[in-house]
Amino acid sequence: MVEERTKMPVVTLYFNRITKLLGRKIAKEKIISALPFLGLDIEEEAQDHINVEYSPNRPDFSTDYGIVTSLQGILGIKLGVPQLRVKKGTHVIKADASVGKVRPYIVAIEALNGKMDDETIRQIITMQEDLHNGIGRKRKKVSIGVHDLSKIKFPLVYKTVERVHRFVPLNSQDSMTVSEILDKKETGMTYKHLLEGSKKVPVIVDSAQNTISFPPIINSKLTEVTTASKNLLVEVTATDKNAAEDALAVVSYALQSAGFKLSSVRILGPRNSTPLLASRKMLLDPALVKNTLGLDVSTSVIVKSLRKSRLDATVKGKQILCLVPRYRTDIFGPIDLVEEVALGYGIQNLIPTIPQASSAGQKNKVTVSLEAARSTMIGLGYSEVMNFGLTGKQILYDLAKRDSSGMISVSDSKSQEHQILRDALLPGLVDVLSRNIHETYPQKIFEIGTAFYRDDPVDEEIHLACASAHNDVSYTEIKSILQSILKSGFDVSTTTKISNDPLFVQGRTADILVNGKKIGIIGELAPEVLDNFKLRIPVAGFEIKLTGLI
Amino acid sequence: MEAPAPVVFAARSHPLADVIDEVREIFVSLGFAELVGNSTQSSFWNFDALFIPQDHPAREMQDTFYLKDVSAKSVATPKQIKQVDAAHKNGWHYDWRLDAAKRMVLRTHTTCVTIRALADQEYDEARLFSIGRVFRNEKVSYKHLVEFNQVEGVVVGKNVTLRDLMGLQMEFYRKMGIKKAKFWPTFFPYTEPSLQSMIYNERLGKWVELFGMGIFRPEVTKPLGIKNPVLAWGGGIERIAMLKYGLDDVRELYNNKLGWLRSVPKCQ
Repeated sequence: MVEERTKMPVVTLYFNRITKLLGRKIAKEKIISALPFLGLDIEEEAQDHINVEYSPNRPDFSTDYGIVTSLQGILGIKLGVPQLRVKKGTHVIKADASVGKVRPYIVAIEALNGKMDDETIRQIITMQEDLHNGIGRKRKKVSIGVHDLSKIKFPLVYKTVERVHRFVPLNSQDSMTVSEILDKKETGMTYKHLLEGSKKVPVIVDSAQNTISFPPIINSKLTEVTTASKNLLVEVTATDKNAAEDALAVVSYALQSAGFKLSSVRILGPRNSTPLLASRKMLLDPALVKNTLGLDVSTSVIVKSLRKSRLDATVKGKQILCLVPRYRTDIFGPIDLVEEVALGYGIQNLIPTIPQASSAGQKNKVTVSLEAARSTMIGLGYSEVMNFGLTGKQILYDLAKRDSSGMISVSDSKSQEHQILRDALLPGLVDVLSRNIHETYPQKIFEIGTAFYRDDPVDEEIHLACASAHNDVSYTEIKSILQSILKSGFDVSTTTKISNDPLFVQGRTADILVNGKKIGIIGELAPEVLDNFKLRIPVAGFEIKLTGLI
Repeated sequence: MEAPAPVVFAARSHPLADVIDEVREIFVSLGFAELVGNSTQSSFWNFDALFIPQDHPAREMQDTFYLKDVSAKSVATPKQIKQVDAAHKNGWHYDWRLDAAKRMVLRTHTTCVTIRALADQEYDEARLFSIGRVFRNEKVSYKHLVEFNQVEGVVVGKNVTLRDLMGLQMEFYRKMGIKKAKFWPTFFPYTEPSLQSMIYNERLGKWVELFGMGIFRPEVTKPLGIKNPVLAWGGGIERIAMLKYGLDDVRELYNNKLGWLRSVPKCQ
């Protein structure tokens, strides 16, 4: 379990907006200290605002509206499911059968009589971007278009067209063909791969034959949203119907919170239907709460905790019937409701308990052997170093003059120094010596770590490598160390058989054998290798495979 | 008699290895048995078995190291594969693909080792831990390495709870000499509920994030035949080492500067 390192999306919360949206005056400090209990990480704090990171599994946290809805719950200002009020509208979008192979689904909603300032627009745009990246999987699965409704003449048709089809895209003055947009516009170049493999592309066209959107790439200039826009159309196109409705639900709740009145848009066409955005019913057994959290509380406390998490809950026999608003796409089943109970109850109110251990602990026997090997090396006067297993070709092969034919590489590494899995530790030790030429000699170092080989699919072996660097270093000195570690460490006798290896001086190197089998190499490092590593002092070393000995 | 003598340096273990040893000793003292496993893993155990969908952003090449031209021939038992396939179909509504599960990765967490042991051994009760290298494809910085050490502990038991999980953290931290800790909710794809712990660092005078934890989701345990609840927690060891040695740049732990290695007091 390690936290995700992928960059989490960020939402900016302005305190004056939050106060207004909360509907009650709450001290700034209280708001700030409540945020982490919603799972939000505070990234930056300023006088008038705060930036928080949220996990993409909570797409409803992509605006300050969504965060305020949850804050109202845990602060006890408003409880239960926020009602989504959608008036039945008369406008129609017809999905043509031709989109079936490219991007089959469309859903939409109208948001009416709203007022938008710059911050509202900014919140909506960042929500759209976050949803594109999260639920939308970088627009592959879902993309969202927001339009100025007053520029649109219904009914709309969602269909495919040839790539010579033209219209004026957003951020442009001139009409462009679809091909030109994909080749020249920034979003076109970024997302054109999503339309690879289909000659025709999806567009939404109104009854005046104006193209209003080219999903998942770009909207038209015609329907651009500005602070003057009062009525909006939100359309969501997708390759997955459920994901389309997820995104539409999140956007609908946010726009309602922003003061818009919602009106439904009828969807016609094969495999498509008008979205309901209804809350889902789910049963929760109070025993699951008790067994999971270790919290023995009455059903009424559970109900209140769920309501503080902005769900509805009522007792139904021995069960609790929960109503989950459509935007909570992260809730799969009862165990997720248990977490909602914990959050509503307050994690800070859960008192840690310590379970008794029923068995004695123990280290793995490999670890025990390696600890012994390490302490023996230290007893012999060698200091431990630690290098990476994922390393660079230069150190491992080029400078060390080693054969790279069995190399295992990783795809698309962001770093030159971390491209291949090491098949030997000794080059890394020589690199350590080369980075310490200004330090006092003698320098005697060792490392125990994993080496990787191509097998079925990969063989991982534990190796021990050691190196000694000083003016009087010799093959004999390092062979004494080898004999000693194998005898005192592993109680095995070793023989060496003269051999050849470009890493070492010819005639001053040998294979290391235990019971007639080669387990490593030993020698004085070749002057050319020392030169490559800019070392001006002689070095001797060995490397052995411990797997098999332990 | 009074002039300083020439300086000699004691051969010693690596300071990061000392922290790893310390963490290991604490787990053993708390009754945990150690697991070891490979750094190279199939996507099946690193991701699929943990209910991480195949189109999840964390599985993209820009975050995870995939081995070039290396695939696992077999990844799990036919039953395990069938059940995990079904869990993904039911939970995420997509066509799960075995060939994607066969792609080999450098493990992004040691949870792949834990989950495999739990699936193969079918423990009713157990306390297990593992320590090992994990990998993330990202730019190296003062905060992040591409390869680091992770520790992970799990407790399997009929009656174990989230409060027990929190209690085990407190016990662990007490043994590390950390007095103040608190818990916040967080998200992991494979645990529910999920928490993160914050510990108070006296030197920095602030709260810092330490371990992530949670209870394995039923979508993870059920398909693999794990019957009892599993508490799991873990995190990076370098972070603990940085706090212990007062480092602000994580790269220093792997620079192998003899000047530093020779100067860090062994007894602290």
